[in-house]
Amino acid sequence: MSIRRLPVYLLLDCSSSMAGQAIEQVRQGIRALLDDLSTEPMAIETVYLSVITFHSTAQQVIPLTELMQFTEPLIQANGATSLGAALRLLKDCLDREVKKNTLEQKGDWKPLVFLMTDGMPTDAWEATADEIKQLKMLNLIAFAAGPGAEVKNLKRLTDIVLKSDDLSPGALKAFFKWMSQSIVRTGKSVQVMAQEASIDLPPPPPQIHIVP
Amino acid sequence: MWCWQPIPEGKDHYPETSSQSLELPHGFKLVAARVRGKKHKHEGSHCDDWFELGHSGAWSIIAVADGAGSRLFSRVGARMACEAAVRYLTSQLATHQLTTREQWTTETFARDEHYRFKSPDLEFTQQLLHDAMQIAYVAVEQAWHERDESKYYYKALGNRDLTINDLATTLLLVVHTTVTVNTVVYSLILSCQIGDGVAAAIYKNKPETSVLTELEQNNFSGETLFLTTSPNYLERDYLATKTFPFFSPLRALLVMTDGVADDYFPPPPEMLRLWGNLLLNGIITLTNLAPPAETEILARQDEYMALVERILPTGVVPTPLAMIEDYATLRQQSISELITTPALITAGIPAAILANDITPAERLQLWLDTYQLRGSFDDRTLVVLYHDET
Repeated sequence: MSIRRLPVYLLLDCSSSMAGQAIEQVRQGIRALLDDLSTEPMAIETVYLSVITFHSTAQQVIPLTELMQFTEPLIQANGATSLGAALRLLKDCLDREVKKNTLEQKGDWKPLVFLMTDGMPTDAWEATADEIKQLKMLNLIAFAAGPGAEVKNLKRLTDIVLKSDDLSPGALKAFFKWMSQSIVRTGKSVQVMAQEASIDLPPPPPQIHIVP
Repeated sequence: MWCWQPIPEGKDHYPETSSQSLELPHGFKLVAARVRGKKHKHEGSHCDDWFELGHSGAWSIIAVADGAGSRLFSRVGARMACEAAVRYLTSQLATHQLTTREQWTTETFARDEHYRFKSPDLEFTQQLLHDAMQIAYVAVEQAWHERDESKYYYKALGNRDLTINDLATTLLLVVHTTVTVNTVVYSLILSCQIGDGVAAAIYKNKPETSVLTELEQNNFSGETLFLTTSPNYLERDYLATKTFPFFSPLRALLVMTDGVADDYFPPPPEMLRLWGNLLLNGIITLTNLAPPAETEILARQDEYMALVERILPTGVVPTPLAMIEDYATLRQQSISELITTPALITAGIPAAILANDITPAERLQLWLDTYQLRGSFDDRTLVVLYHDET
């Protein structure tokens, strides 16, 4: 009997425009996320976390890891915004790490992916974005942090796009807080329609709005 | 960390747990229970599972349903679907007799390319199951119409209208009867299902399981179909592909929602472990067992029994739970071997469990509420049909 996991992937833009206060807020955000989830018994039993960062390249800095074994990654900001590379890596990780139902084993819950970016992609990303949207193999939530991020691009990838007008510490902090609420809520609605359009998300904080 | 909160006040306030047993003809028995899952206890929300049992003429009827966890009023759909389906089958099966045959062979169960049985009596039974599915849908639709103009539901849903999908539920229907051929009693079972949950029959003559439901593949956990998903799933052509027969002497029939089925996956061989646990925890009692020799009985009950922390309104209560896998290991026997010699299992029922003077249905409910598994926090429903003689 294998454990049914809720795989959660964080795709974090660590390009040079994130340097300084913004990247520090991301580090603190991850810490707060872990603290919040560690008080929820359902999250402790089921959530597995992975972190993929992207700048001039993309790398899975933490492979899918049980919540209580998760150690904070070292995150630095520099370089360009290789969203395409990040999406291709995400797809590889999902194929490799996430289990679907088979006749022999129960699969994982549908993976939850949070993408945070503050800028325009600097590589070819469109084809992989189309592929990911079409596959419906994950619930992807994209966050356009600040004026530099292009909402239209993110909409090509997922229907669920959130935006903050500035890249203030408050907005980033609020996004990570909202992320932990979303993970807990997803873990709670244990059973969903196979073809249900979207997941049940909590209302976003005041600094952030959902792009219709 | 896990806590217990009561179910909220308000409309459609159903008991959070229930248990029931029925005596059937020819020595068969039904025992069933449903408990609210750890998740719903923790957050103070309703149990979304339901079951109904029926007995009519020569037939036993079982319905289990699991309301969608993502829908606030799915428990209403689960209950209405079960009640309507069992009511219908009870009325229709009262006079339904199977054709008398000298022989029952594979040919008796032959089906055409649309999965229709070629034997009219079996096809009639299949169609009753399909009618019951459609009638269950109509009952859910009616329950929706009775509520959709109420301000209560509008407010409860955060200022939006109630839709039929708010009552989304799975439904698993099973009917059972017996056929005697040359003094051998065979069980005939037909099951039909929309959504998840498992029905499985354990053969009397061998420690093997026949699964009477389709296992979901290539999707993620928790993703399933519901009675309300699409009218296409209520068409006979679709339902016929989800209807499975069983014909053999029967040890036990186990029908459950995914809250139990996912903990005993894959069904072969896990249904044998489930049956073993039902025997070892004193839930199923068999009447004609010759007690094993003293030397065959293990004295080390604490090595296969644990005191498990059951969460109740009053706090955590240590509750005895025996584990067949540990018992089998200690005896250096496989679970399959033990199942063919049930006296060896029932001789091992721990004294701490026997000391609790409750009915089999109450024992089943207690057991469902007690066993723990990481990541298992859904509502649990299990119905067992068995013969009390081996």
